[in-house]
Amino acid sequence: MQPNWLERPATRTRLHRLAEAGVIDQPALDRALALAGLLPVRQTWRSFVDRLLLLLGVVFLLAGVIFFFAYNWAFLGRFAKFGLIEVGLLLAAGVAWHQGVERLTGQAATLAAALLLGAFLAVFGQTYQTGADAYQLFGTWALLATPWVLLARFQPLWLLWLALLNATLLLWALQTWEPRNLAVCYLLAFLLDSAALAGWELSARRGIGGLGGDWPRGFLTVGALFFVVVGNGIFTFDDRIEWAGVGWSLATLLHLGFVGFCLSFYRRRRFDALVLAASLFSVIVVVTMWLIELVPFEGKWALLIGLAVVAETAGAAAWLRAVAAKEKP
Amino acid sequence: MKQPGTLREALGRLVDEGRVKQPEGGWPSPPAFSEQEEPWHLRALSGLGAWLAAGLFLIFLFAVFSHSQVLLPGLLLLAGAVWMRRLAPGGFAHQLAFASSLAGQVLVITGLFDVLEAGWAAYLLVVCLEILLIAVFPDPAHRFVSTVLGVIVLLVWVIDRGHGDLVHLLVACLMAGSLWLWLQETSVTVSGWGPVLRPVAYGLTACLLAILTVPAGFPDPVSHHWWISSLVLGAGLILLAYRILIALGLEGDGRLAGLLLGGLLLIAALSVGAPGIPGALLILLLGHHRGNRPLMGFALIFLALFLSHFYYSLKLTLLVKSGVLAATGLVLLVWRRLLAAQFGREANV
Repeated sequence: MQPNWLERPATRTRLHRLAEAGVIDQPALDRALALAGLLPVRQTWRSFVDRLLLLLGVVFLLAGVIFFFAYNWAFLGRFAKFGLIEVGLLLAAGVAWHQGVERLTGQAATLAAALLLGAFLAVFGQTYQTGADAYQLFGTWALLATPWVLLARFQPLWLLWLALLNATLLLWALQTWEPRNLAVCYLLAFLLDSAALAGWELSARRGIGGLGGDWPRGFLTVGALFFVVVGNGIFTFDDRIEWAGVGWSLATLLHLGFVGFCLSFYRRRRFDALVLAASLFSVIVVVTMWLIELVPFEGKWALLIGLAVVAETAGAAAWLRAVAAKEKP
Repeated sequence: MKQPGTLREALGRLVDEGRVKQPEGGWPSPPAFSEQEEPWHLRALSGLGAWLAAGLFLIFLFAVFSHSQVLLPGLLLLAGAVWMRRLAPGGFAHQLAFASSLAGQVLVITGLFDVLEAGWAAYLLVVCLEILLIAVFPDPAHRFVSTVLGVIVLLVWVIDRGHGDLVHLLVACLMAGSLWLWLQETSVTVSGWGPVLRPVAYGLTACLLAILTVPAGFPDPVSHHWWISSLVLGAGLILLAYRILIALGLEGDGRLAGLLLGGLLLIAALSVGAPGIPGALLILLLGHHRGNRPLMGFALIFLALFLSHFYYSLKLTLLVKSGVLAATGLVLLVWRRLLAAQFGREANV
């Protein structure tokens, strides 16, 4: 049974609806939003500005350092280049050690050290022409940064590490295999990201690794869905792949298994509307690709497939609406 | 004091503070209150599904009509879509209306540009059409799309006609529109225009951020004077910071105001060649000020895109870009130390 409207949580939309209906006026709406914690107060501002300036400051500074070494200034000798990066690395590690990796400043310094490590490896390869491939650079970077990632327990650092692993895997597969097997690279990246999602959920539930919050889940799910849908699409449309049927079946099975897990877990155990919407949209895209491949794709069939997309989207939205209504009183 | 969790508690607190009088017969239930508010993910799903379907409809429509014949079918399709969205009940009809409207708009735009030979009247009519659709098509995702399409048409006009420097006027208008709509959000809501203007505000903000990647990502086909946009955005940033100080009751604190103004002026000066930096900061602060996480998400995603596009910009050398970024980073870190010291002094008083 739906509760009395007055017993519902005081969300922004509901307070706006009260104002639109004339139940409260504008000053009362402003006050109600502040009372409900939906507008920041002085203390919230202080902490926000502190975090924003620290993180943006570190990001801009490091971006500047990376751009600087990418310029490959002939004026600077190799020792000066290495010296600059190593001083930066030592400085970042020193700040992390001094501040402690439990504090945001220490975590940001560890992130800086991890990024400078990448700059160091890139300059090393550039200076000595080691002949290392791009995937080796990213792989070594990920490997060497692992202790810092484990130590800092900082979500942006976890995501950087995962991005490095994704880059390593994709570049390795692209470089060592035939380009037409690109679909397999995408499926491998999907497996990596879905494993990362499972690991993230387990760690977050047990409160280990400094993991929590909702936003990394969205990144991981959308990333995994992107890779599996693109892989599926290549198997569907690329006629040059001899074993496309097997690949398509495998990609479809993996996709359906992942979507089934998401629709069940993120509806019953831990509600997440973004994950549910993204999963459903990925199914709509895959079904559409399959229909396009199945029929002789021309005018009237395009219209019919378009109508099917409309029906699927309307059904998905209705289901999400019903699920959200049950979840939020 | 404890935060009110439910609407009853929130209204109770407002009554206690004398801001609202409780009606004798109890609180009236607002109309359509039983409707569940739709999360943005759902609107995004609906919008993406509509674009996918519209693309397929267009393959059919362009197979049936030639480019010179599409204006009338497009207008009929649009009129039918608006009628269906306003009068027909149900999810399927609304989704079909959304997709048909997008397909109809593409037909009308193609037809108008064909008939009017891409003259200024075609651009003007398309912008008017989008404004009309914002008013008559009662769907937040559709209103967002109409706003974005309207701005894209203006941008294409600026590029196509060779009036590149007008892009800065467009940036100024988008910034002013975004700031005004978000800062007036509660008065817009009370006036009943919230459902129409909120998606427009999101659209203007998204367009502002998207346009700011233009100087970074291309060999600059639009303008050679992006410092104008940087200055405009810097001024907007200072104005917003002042409004925030007023909202927090801190406008009389000369030392804090001086620190803020000095820091913002330095950022604006440093980012003369990189308008994305003040743009991202503006939307981040605006999002936090309004307690609006999607806006902050927009700004962060944009910042990542801007930095990667900035790398490839041919206007500045990597050495100059490196200097701009590193100096901005250092200013932000020093600024943080100064503000922390100021706040620490306040706490000790």
